[in-house]
Amino acid sequence: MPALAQLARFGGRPRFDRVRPIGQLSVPDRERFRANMRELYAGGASAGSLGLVQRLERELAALHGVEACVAYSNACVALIALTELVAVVPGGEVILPAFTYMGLPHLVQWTGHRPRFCDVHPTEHTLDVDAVRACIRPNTAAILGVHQVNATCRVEALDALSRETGVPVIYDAVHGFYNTHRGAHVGSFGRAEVFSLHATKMLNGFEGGYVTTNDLALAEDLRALRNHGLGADGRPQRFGLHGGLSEVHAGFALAGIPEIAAACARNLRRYERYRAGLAGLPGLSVVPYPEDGERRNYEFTLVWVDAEYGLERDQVVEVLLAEGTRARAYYGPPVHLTDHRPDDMPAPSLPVTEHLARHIIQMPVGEHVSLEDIDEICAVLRTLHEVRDAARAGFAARSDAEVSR
Amino acid sequence: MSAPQPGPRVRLGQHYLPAWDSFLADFDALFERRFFANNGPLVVRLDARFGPFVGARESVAVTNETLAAAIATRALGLTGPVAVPALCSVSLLQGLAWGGAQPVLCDVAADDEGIDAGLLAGDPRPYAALGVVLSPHQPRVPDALQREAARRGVPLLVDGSRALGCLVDGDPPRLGAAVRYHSFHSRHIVNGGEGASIVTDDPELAERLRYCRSFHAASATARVMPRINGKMAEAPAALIHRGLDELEARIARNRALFLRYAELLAGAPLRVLAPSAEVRSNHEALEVELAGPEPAAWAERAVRALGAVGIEAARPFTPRELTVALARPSEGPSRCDANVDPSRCDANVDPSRCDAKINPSRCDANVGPWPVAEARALRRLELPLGAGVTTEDIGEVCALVLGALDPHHAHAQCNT
Repeated sequence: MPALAQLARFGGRPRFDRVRPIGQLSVPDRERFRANMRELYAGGASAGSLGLVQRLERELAALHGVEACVAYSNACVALIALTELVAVVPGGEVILPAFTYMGLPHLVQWTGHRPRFCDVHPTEHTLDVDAVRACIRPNTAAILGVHQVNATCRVEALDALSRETGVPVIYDAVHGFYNTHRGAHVGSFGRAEVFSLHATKMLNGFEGGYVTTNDLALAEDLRALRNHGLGADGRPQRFGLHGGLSEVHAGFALAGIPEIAAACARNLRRYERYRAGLAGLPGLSVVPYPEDGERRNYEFTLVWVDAEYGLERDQVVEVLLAEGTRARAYYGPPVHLTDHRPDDMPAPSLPVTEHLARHIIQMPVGEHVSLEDIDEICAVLRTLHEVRDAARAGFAARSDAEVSR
Repeated sequence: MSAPQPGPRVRLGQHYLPAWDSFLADFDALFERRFFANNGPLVVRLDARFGPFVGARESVAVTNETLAAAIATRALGLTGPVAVPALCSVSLLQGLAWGGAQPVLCDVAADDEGIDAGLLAGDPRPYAALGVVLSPHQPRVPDALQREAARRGVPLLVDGSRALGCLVDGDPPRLGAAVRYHSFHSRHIVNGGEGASIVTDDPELAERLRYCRSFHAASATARVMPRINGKMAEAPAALIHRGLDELEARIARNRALFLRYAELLAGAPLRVLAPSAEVRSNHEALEVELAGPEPAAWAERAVRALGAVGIEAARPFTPRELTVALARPSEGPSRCDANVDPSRCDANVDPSRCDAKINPSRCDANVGPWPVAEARALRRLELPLGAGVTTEDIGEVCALVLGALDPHHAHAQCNT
């Protein structure tokens, strides 16, 4: 059979009969989860013991080396609550990257603020501090940094900018979970940081989120806000919402905490397997994690596609999808060029973001992807490079057909 | 790090859990599938099941009750003042505000405790919708309010969280043109740990609700901004399915506990709130009302006496307290301080001058007066009734509540 026809996109049989996803999707030790649920069935907090949510908050505070952790129903609600509490100009702008999760500009608007998109650093993919400085206006309400899986934000420079301008810095730390920066835990930077307990993330709580902070007054406000703004006496004290994490979700996340280090080690092996499998392949390279002695979760394997490979990034993604994977364009298109931007906001020009958003693939990873799966995926990418001219012709034929339709 | 606080011995709320073996079977299956979130099979099945269960065409599962109210508000496009009963649930009140509307508390009718439709008919404000909060014993939207909504041409947004499983003349209450949500927080009779479902008979509205609750949903017609991750995960959906299976048994147990309260409090100057003859209540909450003098002082003494032995009880929020639940500190003091001077409400003379259009916490309209709601809230007390409550507990609760009728007796109890 000709090599091109071996690829599912061009008529071959898909390599995988079960989807190979991009999320972590871990299941912790079931007996540990059952033990937590037995506690819930025995009455949990009502029996005079600590509730599972409180236990989870204590363990996560210790994990991140911070004074306080406040759990929420999901990371979006946590970020909305945090923005509501720390933003300094009601109705003002929140500076954030566009090379990020599509939801962030929406979340900013739930608190009545406006997103202001800002460009990122070309190799670290986090907020470019000089660009942030240029974005600051009298109506800037907050800076929302987003840690990337391969780099923590430049927290020292952003802290200095915050001190200088009075604009608070908060972080979306979802992909910085378990990482360190200059020896300090991610979770301890800025006014506060937000993490996710979604099933696709490093710590699976089915769904959930939490805020870490060393500001105890802020933590108390976060607790009151998530409980409708009620005070310790159970009476209304301020605006709030219903935003707490369920005890069942907390019990599941608690069961997973002892297994995090092992999950990170497995992620590292997958990342190394991709690196070995793609070594020497022209135009394709794994985005490296810095070898600087910091602790990392190796949650994603990102692959950079250059012109030398012979096909566009989106074409490569299409081939991988056809094989039965969930590979996807990494933050492409960037948020500011999609309908997630507010309707009345012109798209700003963010050259670094727009360049990055054309080149990177988020590869299948997590507990559903074996090392042998990765060998298969790498073999597909090698085959595709070998038949790149025919593949290009195949894609062009489809485009012509679409135009004629 | 502040020390976590242990909970009370006997809690308010329902807190029912499925049988242990059912729970294990459901969660083992969930772990085998490794499909935990993002519109999994249990959530899809819940959306298909719950609408017909409550007599609606469409059902949309979401994260929790605040997001249910907020997403419904966004999907309905409510941006102006919305009338809500002055005995409103906090979730409806705050959900409306998060969704971009401006809740305005209106006094309630003495018979059904919904917004007083007679007063509303004379209110010149251009309300974008009318809010309704159902209770276990009042599970339907009052007819007069439905007529007033129709006259104004505005939708009804209904918090049905406390009325799941209730029947009127043997049937689930009709949904009509309303949009209703049901919370599955553990204090309600069907416990998902968390979660809520929004129900409607309007398929176009359902599409807007689905579009708004997720960043991933695609739609050719819906455009609701901003959106949110408001999806329900699989774990609550598993619990909710079991809760629906067990609903009748839970109602029967609640009713037995309710009857025990009624028996022990008979003859006292207290009224145990009960449904009318045509209503089958789910009895998910037990409320008593003091008929005698100084009800607020009695309620406070009762709360303290019960709390001293680890039993939770609570007074409902007064309308004035509810205005505090709308106050955003970042925006300065709420003009609801004008409670002391209702004449400061510009909206009473000129609705276009209502500050609520700009900022709900500065709503000059929330100044009352709310004489009926205020009186009801002050003389009422919620007592524990649910999965963890035994008939022995009820005996203890009733003794303390009756003891609190006598201030001297109650004082002695607290000190011992």
